[in-house]
Amino acid sequence: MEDKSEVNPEGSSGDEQPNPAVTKLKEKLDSNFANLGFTYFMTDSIPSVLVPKESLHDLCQFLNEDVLYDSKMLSCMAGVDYIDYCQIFYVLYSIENNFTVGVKCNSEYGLKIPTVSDIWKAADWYEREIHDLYGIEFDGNEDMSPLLLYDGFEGYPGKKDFPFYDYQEY
Amino acid sequence: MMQDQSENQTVDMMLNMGPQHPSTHGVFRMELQIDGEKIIDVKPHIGYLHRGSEKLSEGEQYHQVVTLFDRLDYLANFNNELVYCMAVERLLEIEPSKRTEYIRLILCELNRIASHLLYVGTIGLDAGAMTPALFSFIGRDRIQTLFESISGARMMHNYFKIGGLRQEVPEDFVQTVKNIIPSIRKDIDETEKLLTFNEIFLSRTKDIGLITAEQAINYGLTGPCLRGSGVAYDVRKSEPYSVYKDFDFDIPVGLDGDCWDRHWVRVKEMHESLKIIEQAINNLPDGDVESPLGRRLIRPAAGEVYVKAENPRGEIGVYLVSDGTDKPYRLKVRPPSFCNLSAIQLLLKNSWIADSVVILGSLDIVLGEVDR
Repeated sequence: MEDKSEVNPEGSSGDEQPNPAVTKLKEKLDSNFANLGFTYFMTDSIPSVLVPKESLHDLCQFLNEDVLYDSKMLSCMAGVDYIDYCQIFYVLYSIENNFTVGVKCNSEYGLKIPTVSDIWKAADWYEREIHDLYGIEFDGNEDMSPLLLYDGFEGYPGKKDFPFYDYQEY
Repeated sequence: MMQDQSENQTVDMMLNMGPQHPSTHGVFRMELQIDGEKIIDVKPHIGYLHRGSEKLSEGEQYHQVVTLFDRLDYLANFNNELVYCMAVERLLEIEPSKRTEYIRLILCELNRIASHLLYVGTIGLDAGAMTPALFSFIGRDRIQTLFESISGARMMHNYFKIGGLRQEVPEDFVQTVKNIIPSIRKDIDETEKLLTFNEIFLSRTKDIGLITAEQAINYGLTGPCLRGSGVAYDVRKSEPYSVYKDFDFDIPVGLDGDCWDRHWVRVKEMHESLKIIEQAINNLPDGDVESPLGRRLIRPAAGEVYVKAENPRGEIGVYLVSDGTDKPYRLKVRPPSFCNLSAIQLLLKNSWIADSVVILGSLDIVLGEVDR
């Protein structure tokens, strides 16, 4: 019995039976991105891949242009604080094929993640929001002015170590 | 020195619009760079209503978070409650009863109509027509009175519970819904007659605020804003959740992706919602609306889910990470208005100041969910 209080950042999948959608995604990506340290798993019902941040932009470009995955829409982009590192979860959606694929990327605090706002314009505001809440920098996205917070706000309120019932005078 | 320059040379001016401007539909500010009446550049500023709902939910127990979702898109409370309840139910692997699902769906569709009626009223105000707002509020009031009889509140209902409903609907619920359907249909038609094909309204909205399908998808637009550009994407059809697959309805789509198309799609959608409500109320199953969990504390196993649903403003997504405790580890909302509003720069560039109000109105944003 595994310890339930621990968060498993690689999703709720198990090692038991690889899902056919995951196998399909792995086969597709192996032709272009073999031996780059990708991990494949299911996030809920979404076939997902965990990528090192060096390959993130290339992979997103590939999924955007690929005929099968055709991820023309960036549906959601979420940052999750796992204390030691921050995980960014990209939900990519193809309206044409009605297909969702998830991309995850881990980044330690203080390091930069390549931007995907040149592929999807929607990423621009999401990245600014994640920068506000987690302090993650996005390489290539110049405008990182506060979006949800105000100029001069101290700290990153999305992070777990941010005091919960504290407030700052504006 | 001045004489050397061309005689037509003008100086760009910065115009501040908002945050307390009546046509910005809330606390939204735009820095407009204008040359005469023409908008050269726009810098949108949001965050005036940022309450940290996502962070707050990390400190609340699962059943308490429903109230925070009421306050995101405060014009479509039931739709927000539904998507959160669906996310937790998926995490817990429980299914609400058929009767619960039907009542939820009826309330969500009524809420969609109420939200769109408010939109029709406000776009009229934005375009300079006062009367449609008065008519559309009559219809909205009918729906809100019904909501009040069910949940005790006209807004912020806190009525959906994880796995069920907070209480059974009143005895006369079915009859009341059946009675108000023709009245709402009349209200929609009256409002539409005043506005949709009005010549002044057409000249204010046709070919204004154009966005192509490719651009709309790239900016992550969903809901009527995307369907106005001719993309028939609706979560209720593409990935039917709840009991939507039991019902017969169409997805209206626009042609050009201008303000008028976005308006037309919303008006047609209200009629489709009425179709769904009619089918659902005539086949409302008997049974229980109590949650299978009872009053137990909710502690889902560690895991994560991504759930999406179709709100009046577009696709709402909830990414919920659980660590096995009684509080969410992380809850991220993908608000439809947030993405729809991000295209404002593209839409407003090279348009006129007078049109900017109509373009913003046609996106139908709710700042409560943009800022969260």
